[in-house]
Amino acid sequence: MNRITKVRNIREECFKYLENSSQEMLANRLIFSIAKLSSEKMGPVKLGEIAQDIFSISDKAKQDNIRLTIEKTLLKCGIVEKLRYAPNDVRYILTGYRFQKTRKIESFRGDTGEPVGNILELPRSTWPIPDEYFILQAKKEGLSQALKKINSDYDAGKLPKGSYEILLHTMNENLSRFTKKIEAKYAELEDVIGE
Amino acid sequence: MKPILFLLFLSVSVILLLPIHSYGQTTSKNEIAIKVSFANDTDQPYTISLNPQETYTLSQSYSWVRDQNSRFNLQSYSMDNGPYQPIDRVSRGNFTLDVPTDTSHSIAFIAVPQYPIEVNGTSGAIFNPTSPTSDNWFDEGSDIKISTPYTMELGQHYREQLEGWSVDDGSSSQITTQDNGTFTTTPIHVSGPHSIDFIYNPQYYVNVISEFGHIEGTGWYDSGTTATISVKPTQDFPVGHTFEGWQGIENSSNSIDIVVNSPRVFTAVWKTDYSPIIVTGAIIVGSTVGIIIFRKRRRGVSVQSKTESNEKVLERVEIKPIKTDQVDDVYTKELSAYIFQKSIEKLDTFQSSGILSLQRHAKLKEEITQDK
Repeated sequence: MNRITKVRNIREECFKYLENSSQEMLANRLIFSIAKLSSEKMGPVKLGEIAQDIFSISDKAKQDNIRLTIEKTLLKCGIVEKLRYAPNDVRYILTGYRFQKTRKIESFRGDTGEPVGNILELPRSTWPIPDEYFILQAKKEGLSQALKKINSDYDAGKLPKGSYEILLHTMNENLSRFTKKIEAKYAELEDVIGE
Repeated sequence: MKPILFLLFLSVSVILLLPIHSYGQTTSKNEIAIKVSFANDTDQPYTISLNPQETYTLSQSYSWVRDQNSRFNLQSYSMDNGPYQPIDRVSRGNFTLDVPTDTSHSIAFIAVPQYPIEVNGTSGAIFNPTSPTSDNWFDEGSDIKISTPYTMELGQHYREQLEGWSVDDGSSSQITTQDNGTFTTTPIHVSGPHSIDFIYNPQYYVNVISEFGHIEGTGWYDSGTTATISVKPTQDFPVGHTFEGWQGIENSSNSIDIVVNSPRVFTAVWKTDYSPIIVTGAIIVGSTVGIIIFRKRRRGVSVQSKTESNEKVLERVEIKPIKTDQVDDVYTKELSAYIFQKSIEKLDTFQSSGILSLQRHAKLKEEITQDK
């Protein structure tokens, strides 16, 4: 979840790979491909999967090309992270989905990075937000609207008081449980999405 | 003519001898005599005539020549046949004795024959017993032993080591060499002059110096022998060392043979080799990187499994059903459908806002429908 909620600082010379102006560059295409695939899989992706997505073919030459670009560029820039699941199972995942361009400032206190421009977000559709979050949010919304309807129906005399109180209690209880769970697990994500 | 000459000679002799005779007769009457004699005829006896009350100091040489190989040395004396008094044994000079001249006396000396013992080849010989006259002359019939050190240090890296000895240029006796201690001969009977030769062999010290590794060859060597010196590199850590040669020697082999004819010092030259620390560093770095990768791998795996496990650990939140016996069943069904509809609408909102892809939207919609 930190990958989504935290903003990654990226050096100027690396930030270009994220920008639209680099759409023709393999590095840029790799970033978006990894983002898309990992959100679909909800986990790191393999070279072959990336090659298939970008080139529609996954031969060794394509995989080598991708690997070299990742290793020489994206890993060094801190945009992609390499995870070795097993000796022959290497997978890649983005280090983040929100990036801040930084300019290097050299001073006697040491090198620091000064933020430049706005935060760049990858398409939210590629964010690896768990299914659970969407389901919880959807059901919470359903309960919330149902609670309104109960009140409305009771006010309109469509619902007897006894039934109303039972339904009110039940709906409130349900809504409270969903709200608590979302707050407990997805508070930071809520903040980011709500921005 | 001959009878005349004979008479003339006789007359002169009578004239010359007459006073001596009369003097001798006078001494025996008016003077006292000191008779000096030597036991075992070690020297000629003699008599000294003195006037009464005249003080007299008898002087006798401590040593006198017996023959070309020996001498006599005073040992004791006796006056007037009294008990013998010992005399301090001295090789040179004169023994003096104040003799009273109240009356005539007789002095008898005892002297013993002595022979010299000559020692060659060592400067550290010790006699046991020592010479009674402190000059390497020993009384006839005595038995003496001679001690000498096994090794004589003649310089910082030069010494001589005892190998053998001989008596009177006879066949030499071999000695088991030793670095320390003293060698003592068998008893030598003094029956004549003796010449003792100790045979020492010069030795030189070969010093092998090396700051590193295991050296061999340092020690004492007989002059003219061949020494093998070597140094064996050891596995030093954290900085290793490579042998490059010997200082001042062209041969760069770590083991060389040299003829020892003087004290020698061989210094090994080494080149610092940082490969052990580099290798160790590489191992450490490799291990560290390995651990980091391992941890990352675990973290990577756990990222996935954590998400899954969290979903399992946390209570799955479901909408509790409405108690239908207390609420109108038709309304309940209507309400459930309403909740479902609004839930789907929310998913649609997510999809339309771009947070949810079409593919996932469809999948989640199906999931919610099944829950319904």
